[in-house]
Amino acid sequence: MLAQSRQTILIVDDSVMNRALLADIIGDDFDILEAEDGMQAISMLQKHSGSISLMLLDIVMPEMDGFAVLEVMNKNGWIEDVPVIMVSSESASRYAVRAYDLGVTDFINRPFDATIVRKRIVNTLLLYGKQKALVGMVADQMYERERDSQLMVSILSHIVEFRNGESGAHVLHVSSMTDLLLNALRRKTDRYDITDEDISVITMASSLHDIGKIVVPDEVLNKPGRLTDEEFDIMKTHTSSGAQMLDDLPQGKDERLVKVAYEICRWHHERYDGRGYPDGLVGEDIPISAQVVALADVYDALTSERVYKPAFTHERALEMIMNGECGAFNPLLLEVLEESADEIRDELSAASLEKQSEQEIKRIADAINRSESVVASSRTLDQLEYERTKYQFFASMSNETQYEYSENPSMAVISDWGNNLLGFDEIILNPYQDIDVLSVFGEEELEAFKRQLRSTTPKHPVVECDVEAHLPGGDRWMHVTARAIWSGEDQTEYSGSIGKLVDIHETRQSLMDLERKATHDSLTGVLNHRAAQAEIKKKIERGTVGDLILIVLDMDKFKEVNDTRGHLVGDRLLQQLAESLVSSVRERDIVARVGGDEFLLCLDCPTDPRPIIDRIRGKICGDYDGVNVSVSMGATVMGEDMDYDEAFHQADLALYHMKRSARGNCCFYSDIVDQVADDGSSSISSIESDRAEEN
Amino acid sequence: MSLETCYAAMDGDLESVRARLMTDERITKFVKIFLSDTSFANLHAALDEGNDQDAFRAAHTMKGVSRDLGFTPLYEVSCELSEALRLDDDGNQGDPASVPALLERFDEAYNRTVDAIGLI
Repeated sequence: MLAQSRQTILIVDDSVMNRALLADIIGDDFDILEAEDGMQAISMLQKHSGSISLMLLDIVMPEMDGFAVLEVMNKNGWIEDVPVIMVSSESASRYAVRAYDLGVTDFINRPFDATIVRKRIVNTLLLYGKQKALVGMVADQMYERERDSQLMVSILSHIVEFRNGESGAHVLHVSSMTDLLLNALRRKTDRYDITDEDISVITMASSLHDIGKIVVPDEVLNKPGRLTDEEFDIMKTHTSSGAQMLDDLPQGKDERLVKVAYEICRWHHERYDGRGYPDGLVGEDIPISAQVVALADVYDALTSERVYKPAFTHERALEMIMNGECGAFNPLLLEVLEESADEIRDELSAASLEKQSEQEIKRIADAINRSESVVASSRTLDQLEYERTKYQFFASMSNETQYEYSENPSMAVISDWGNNLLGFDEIILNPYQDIDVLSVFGEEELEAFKRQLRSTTPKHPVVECDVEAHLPGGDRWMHVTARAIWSGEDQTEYSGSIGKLVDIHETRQSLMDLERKATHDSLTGVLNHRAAQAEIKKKIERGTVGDLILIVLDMDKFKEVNDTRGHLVGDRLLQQLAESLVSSVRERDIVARVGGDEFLLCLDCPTDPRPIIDRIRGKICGDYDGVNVSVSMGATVMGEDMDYDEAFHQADLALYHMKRSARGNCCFYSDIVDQVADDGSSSISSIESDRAEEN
Repeated sequence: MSLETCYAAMDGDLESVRARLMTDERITKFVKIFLSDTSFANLHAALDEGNDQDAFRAAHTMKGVSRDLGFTPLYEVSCELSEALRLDDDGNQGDPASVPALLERFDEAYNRTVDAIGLI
């Protein structure tokens, strides 16, 4: 259909002057889009593909010339939808020849002649408009023709029924059941190689199975009692007569529908065992179309009331057929009948002509959609455009960056629907070598990403990862979801990838903050006791050089500072102490606040730890904002099989012992043990119980 | 009136331009826009940098524009210059030896055209 709205013309030329001149010549009757090189043109085609009615294309342009644009248009099939007029000052005919080979509709040589440019544009638009309208009309006609034939068939079969005095639903039931049986048969076996089209044609032709009855005399056809042998012979002729009528058709007897109808008319009273009429065909010599219709015919005859018999129930009819009371059928077909018995009962009671033709039209529509040779009609293009708009809208709200990458030519198209997150150009040639891309993602990461994509399979083509993008405004974390595109007949050719990047920096940051908060002391910034414990356990698991020394320490007379100078000063003091603890030990050592003014250190040291501890103590004792700070320490060497709690308990006890005796120094747990052994004045347990009492 | 003076001064082909572009308003408009066309500057910049691709493209653009507007002398020399600068498949210029002389004529024709436009 011709577009009702104004048509849009895309002018592609690297010279502003040329674009302006062309736009001026084209005038106000059209909307104009401009692209200053081939890459911009491609990206505009991608964005506005449905709405560009015509493209004027220059040949000589930087980056990507006119011929390269045509090649991409061919590759993507856009050349079918967007007519191209090549504009050039190259007079050599080889340029024009190459352009025509690549599918341009027209070639205009410079200098521009306003009249000629306008005429050619209008002609091309008319031509394409007509073609699009034709495609639409052909599609509409196909729908219509299909509807018409359906209607003709139903009129014809109704005439036959009317004459038979049948209920009027017989033909309808037979065709519904034919459709159902064929579908079930196809699911069960591929012996008959039944296509969608076959089902559609056989089902429609099934309605004609009894047309031969039109030549059977009324007194035979509608005789209430039993037929004599002679009468029955006349009755039997309806098969061959029907077939003959079709064969005598002046037109259309080569049509698929007529051929199938012929089979059905002639052979729907044949029997699988060869005892049917008119030809006595045996087994698979009877076409499957006729076999199926025969079964459907018998079933419906049984379940309907006739002048000579009442209607049997569904179950009784099935039973009679299965027992071979009503003819001999293909055993495979009987299996299918049995298996779809419920479906048949439900379907036939609900069958209506309207529903059936709807199904039919849907099937035809599906067939058309699947067929690759049918050019996309304007309706499809509109739908695509709608989908695109919809996707862009949602994408712009989700603040993501999308890309489409093709291997050949190696080119990425970046769509920054949200803000310009990465600051990339819209089109990047050779993105894996591009300086901007490399500097944002890093060469190694990009290579790894490429490898990941290439090692996907057509079945599992999706890659997800978090990457850190190094942007001018600082590093940001992005989540990448990408899908490799595998093409070629058996999908073995890697032809590129598509994907999106979502900025997850804030989310990730807050997760990291939370993690930090959970493991660190909020006042001093060093680890909390629980996290330190976990770290120490890890250290033990990793193994250490020399002994692991656990030290618990606290400030002497900290309570006095709090009482006399206030809690703010106390807090500040704790922070300063933590800072100087951290700066007095190595990075791999652990510093943590146990609680109050009590801290914990964990060092591994291959030599005698005492000098090291003395040095640390020397560093952290001293003047803090006018407060003279000294600390007491309790330490223990963590034995190989000692668990953390035990070690902490020992160090803590040593600290208690230190504070009780002298303060301002370091006591090792082993010292207490030695001392107890030496003088026997007290015991470990008595120190422990003293401590417990104080607490 | 002034269009005639202008085209006479540059030895241009006003008659054919009128036949093609239809109206004097349009011709006047684009003749003036020509003054802001960057092909001339681009050509010199590209030659100074030794960028053969850009040099050819600029000469080629100048050829197209001058032809559209009927600037005959400028068109003729642009034509020769763009052929001399045209790159073959191996990236070699058509006739590098003739470029300096052509460039001199090109500058002259350009300046003459610009001066003539000044008369409008």
